[in-house]
Amino acid sequence: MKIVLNETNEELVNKVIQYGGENIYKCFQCGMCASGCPVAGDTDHKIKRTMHQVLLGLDEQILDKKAIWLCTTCFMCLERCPQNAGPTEVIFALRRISAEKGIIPDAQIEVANNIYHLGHAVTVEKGIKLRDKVGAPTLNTAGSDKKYIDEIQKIINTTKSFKLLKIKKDWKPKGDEVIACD
Amino acid sequence: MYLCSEQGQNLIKDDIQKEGITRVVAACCSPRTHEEIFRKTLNSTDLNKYLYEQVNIRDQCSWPHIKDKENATKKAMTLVKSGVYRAIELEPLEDRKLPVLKSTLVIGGGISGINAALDLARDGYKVYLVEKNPSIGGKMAQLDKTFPTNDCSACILAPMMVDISNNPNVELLTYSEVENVSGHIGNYHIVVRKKQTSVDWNKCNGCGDCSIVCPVKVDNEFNCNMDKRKAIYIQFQQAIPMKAVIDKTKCIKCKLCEKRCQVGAIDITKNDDEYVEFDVGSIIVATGYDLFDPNKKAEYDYDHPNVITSLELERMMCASGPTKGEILRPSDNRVPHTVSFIQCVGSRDEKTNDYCSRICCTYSIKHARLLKEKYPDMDIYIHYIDLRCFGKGYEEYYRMAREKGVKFIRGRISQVDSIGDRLEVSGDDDTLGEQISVIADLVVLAVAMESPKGSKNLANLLNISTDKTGFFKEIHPKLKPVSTDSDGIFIAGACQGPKEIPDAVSQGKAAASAASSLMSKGEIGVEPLFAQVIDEFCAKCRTCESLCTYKAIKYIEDENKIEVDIALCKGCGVCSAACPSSAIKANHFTNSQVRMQILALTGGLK
Repeated sequence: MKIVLNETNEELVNKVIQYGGENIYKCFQCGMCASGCPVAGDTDHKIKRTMHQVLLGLDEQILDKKAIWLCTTCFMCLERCPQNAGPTEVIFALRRISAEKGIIPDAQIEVANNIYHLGHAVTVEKGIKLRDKVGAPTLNTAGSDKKYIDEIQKIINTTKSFKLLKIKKDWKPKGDEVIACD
Repeated sequence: MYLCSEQGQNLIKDDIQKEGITRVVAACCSPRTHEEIFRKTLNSTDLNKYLYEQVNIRDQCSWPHIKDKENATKKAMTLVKSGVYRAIELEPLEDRKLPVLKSTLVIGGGISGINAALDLARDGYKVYLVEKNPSIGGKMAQLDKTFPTNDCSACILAPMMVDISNNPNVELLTYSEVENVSGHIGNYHIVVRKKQTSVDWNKCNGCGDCSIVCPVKVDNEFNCNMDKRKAIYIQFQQAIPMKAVIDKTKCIKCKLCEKRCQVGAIDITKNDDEYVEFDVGSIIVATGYDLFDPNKKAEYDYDHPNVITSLELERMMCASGPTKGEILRPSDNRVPHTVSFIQCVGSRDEKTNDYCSRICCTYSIKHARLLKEKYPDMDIYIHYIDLRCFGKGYEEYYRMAREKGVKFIRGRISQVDSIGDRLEVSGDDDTLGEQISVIADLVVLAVAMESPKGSKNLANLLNISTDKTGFFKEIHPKLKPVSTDSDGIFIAGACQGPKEIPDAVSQGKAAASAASSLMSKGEIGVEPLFAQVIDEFCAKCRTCESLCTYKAIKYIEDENKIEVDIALCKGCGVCSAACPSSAIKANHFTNSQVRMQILALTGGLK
């Protein structure tokens, strides 16, 4: 669809800079970031395009879509970028901006609630049962003791993240079917 | 071992001295690059250097027949045979010496010509600098800042212009054009037409009073017609010479200026052009470039007041320009909020000019940066195909533009339309993979550099070549970048092809150096490969005269004789081949030499 550029929204790029993507202006669209990206081949996450969209102020094209959440943060693009424009940092900044606006995909909310209630990003119930069955020693993980979970909840409760991550007190984990992204 | 190495040459030398060799034939590469080396070796012995024959079995045999080794070898053997038989008929010849005048004509007073003229004048050569405009300075005088350092153009150019006017070895001929060139390397006769200014420049003190009283306002070419000048005017504030000129096509002959002039320099009744004649040893052509006419690209709507060229923007940026350095939208004199730069207008386009103009990427980046410095909130887009910022320091220059927030969009712009009081710039964004349109207040067209009008005429006058784009052609793009196919005539700057100031300066200096090394000894050796007329066979039919490309053959009426000017003759042999009575002998390519070669090639010799 044709894109009309009228009065560029500088707010987005300024916020990206404020939130850690301070070298975004160095980007000259060479495509090094996208060429080595492990998820670009199979998903809609095109980091070169995202960098350009930020510079043009096309916020709705980035924030309304899930692409930025598909980044695995492997840091390959950041390592290889010939201009040190920090593409991964830009992705982090965009996620922060997106979260502030309340735009977070369900999968990410799921993960946040898992951490809040269980101490883990994904549930490990199946694994714990399996260890019991074969007689392996019990693991001492963040979720294995209520006092650890209390500490995690204390951190989340006292920061903005409780609201941003839409933490629900009456959370029901989906069990082992949960995957990181949908 | 390479035959052209020192070792190989010594081998030949030894053979000549010890074995009594009288002719040398080498079967190797091109005589264009290597003949001179072998000739020098012969010269170092008692053998005349013209008793050498080079057979090119590389360019004309092994390279074209690379897939057929067997037949290529057969052909090489035949070629060598023909060389050997030609060698039998070779005659010893002596080089001719020609005197060379220690003076140069420099055509064009832009930055390249100024540099060439200054270097030669400082070395003690007499220089005639001819410029068609009232002042020297060229396009550079119209620029505000220059990349990649953003120095003020006038600040670095004006001192050189003053230097020129103060140098006693330079004769400045501005408001003048070269009318005729005759003669040859070392001794050219030049006729220059000084256009009538109607102002006595010996009296004019450049006060400018005449312009103030003149009632006739006309478009000011120096400011790209964005404001007015008078019919009597001084070209610009730093003009050299700082003298007034009457534009004869616009003057209404009211004589107000004549009455006002306190030194009595003006005489509007003067109408005739003056002619100046002089002789020089060498010529440097530095006629610069013209800009592409954007009207040829109707889709960019250049008729719209808010669509301007990059040079117009440059004049606006200049503190002494039509807007005193303010960037104003011509339609309403308001500072634009959004500016779009369209690159490659008239460049890299088979419909206009297929070449890259080389400077537009960097100058648009310069414009964008300067705008951002002056108006930080301005929204600036540069629509490009490829960004070619290749020079020293240019990459950093480009990066700094990005850091200032200039937006670069890859993709050509299809058209510009007006919507309300703004402009819609429609195109493609390669990265987004989508059509885009920018709503802009001002559109700047980065127009191509073209060979200046009149280049063809000048090329004919000087007997030098132009390439298909109209720019003057160098002999060799890498090794002889400022030499032309007329010995003694050199080219420098943008008249040879689009280039930025550093390259134009380098070429100006290179041309000065080439001219200087030609003139320094006061004479040059000329190969004796010219035509000779055998008068008793000659029927004076003058067929040769009309065929000679170099105008080297003339019929002398008083003596009823055909004469060859050996300085002009290139020894091409056209006259000799065409002569119906075989009255012209082409040195080093005599009939007997060529006949032997043909016989060897066609198997006529056993």
